[in-house]
Amino acid sequence: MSPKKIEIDYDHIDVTGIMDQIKRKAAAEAGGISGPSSPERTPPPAPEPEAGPGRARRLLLRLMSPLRPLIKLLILPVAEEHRQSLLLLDRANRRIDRLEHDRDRAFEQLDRLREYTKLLHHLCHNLVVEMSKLKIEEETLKTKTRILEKDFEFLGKREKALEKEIFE
Amino acid sequence: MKIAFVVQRYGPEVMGGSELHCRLIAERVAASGHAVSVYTTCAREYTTWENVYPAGESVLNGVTVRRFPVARIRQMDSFNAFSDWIFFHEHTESDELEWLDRQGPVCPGLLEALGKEESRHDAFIFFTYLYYTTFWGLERIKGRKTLVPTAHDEPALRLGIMKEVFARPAAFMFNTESERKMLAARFSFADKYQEIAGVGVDIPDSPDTAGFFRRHGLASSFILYAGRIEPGKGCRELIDHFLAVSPRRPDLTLVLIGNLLMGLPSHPKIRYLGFVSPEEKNAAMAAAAVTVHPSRLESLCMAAQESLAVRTPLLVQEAADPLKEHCLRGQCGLYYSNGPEFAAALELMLDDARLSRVLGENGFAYVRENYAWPVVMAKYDRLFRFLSSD
Repeated sequence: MSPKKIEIDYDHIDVTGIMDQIKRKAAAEAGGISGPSSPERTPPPAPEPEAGPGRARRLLLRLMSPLRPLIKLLILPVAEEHRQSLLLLDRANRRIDRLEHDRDRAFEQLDRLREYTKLLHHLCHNLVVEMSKLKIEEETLKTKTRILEKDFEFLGKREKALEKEIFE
Repeated sequence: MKIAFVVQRYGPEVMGGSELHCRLIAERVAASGHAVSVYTTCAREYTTWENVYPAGESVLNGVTVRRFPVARIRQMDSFNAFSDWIFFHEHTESDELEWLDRQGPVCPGLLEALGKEESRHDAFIFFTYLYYTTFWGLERIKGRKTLVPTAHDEPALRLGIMKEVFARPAAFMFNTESERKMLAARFSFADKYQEIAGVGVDIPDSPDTAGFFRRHGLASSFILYAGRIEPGKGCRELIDHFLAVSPRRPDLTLVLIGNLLMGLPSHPKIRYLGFVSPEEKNAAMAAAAVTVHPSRLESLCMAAQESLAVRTPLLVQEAADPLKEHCLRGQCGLYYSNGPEFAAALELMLDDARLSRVLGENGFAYVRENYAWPVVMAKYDRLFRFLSSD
């Protein structure tokens, strides 16, 4: 870029004015030449228009070439807005990607929790079954104990009766 | 007056912006006849808060330094993950206090000493709004206290607990008008004492520019970056922009000085000179055609002030409001927001020697008027008068 194209009043430097001119120039150059720029600030490439037959396209481009400066001048402000919008969209997309990633992770955790809950349910069920069996067994054992107690009581009485018979 | 400074790290080896800022101010205040104490931790690195300095009292350049051990090593990975979560999700106040604990430096001894020794000092000045020592220290001190926020626009400012940090002090010393405006948009400073002070800069007599070219074998003009060389400071972007300009400017070199914390591409026109002495840094800045400041997160940028003090114009990141403010208020530099603008602004300054000279002279006048040490210290004297008045 030639510095002659930027108008500067050296006695009263106006950085804002110089920057406005630089920004316009940079935007024009970026629009005219696909110059290198920051990778994170480069807007995503616009989709290529569907190419027709190559020859007709070349002819059309040649016919339009005298009008190219005018077209550039007309689309310049729009191009900058377009670029800014693309940057905003790019940021929004990145945020959405991150949120989707978070959501997927949350779903994975939810699935794990669901499996865990199922396992806990099975465990509780099995524990209840085992407790019921134990309860029944306990009742059976209690009944057996009562029978044994009665047998023991009967044998005690019999023993006492026999002792009485012998000593009398 | 007896003045106490509270800062998370302190020492000649500590090169963080706000910590160096605190040390420079404390030493100047001590030199002007005040009794100055600094309450700080034993940590040297903010990444771990590992206790390196011995606990206890020592004297450094006329300043009494009281160090207290940090109780908890910082786990940077888990802290970053927790920060990512808290900044973008709904959370409670206890989550924020948990974030502050993880941020650190957790230093109960320092807080206890502040509570016990408040009556021994006439004024307390806290540096950096972001840390545990500031949040809890401001709570412990019941009298009037001052905060030097050294803030830039970042997610931590949106945490609810920060309202308390900015409500408790009676006075604020900002670095730039941009910082004040950015904070005023979030917090109320009505009825608070406010001053835009920043930090002073020494104006070197005659830096040895010819010697600098000779010592480092530089044959042609160069642009300079001085500071921590890391992606967070915008250095990756700077290198990309420079490599895009380089084919059109084969004689131009990018010189980097400071702490290297990232890989640099192997390119004949990118020169890393390591960590250099202050004299060598001044010579490098004076010899450079332009100094570049690519960081988006700055609250003052002392390197920019040092560059202007040797009449070298700036090329700064437009997104960093304080840096842009330097350019606009001082009419002393240009700014960029993308690669083409970087190239256009840089080439304009390289090609137009008269513009470069005028910007450099404007910068020198701007620094002398706003950031010369007598100007900054006069602002601190006004603060001390305010704090001692009833």
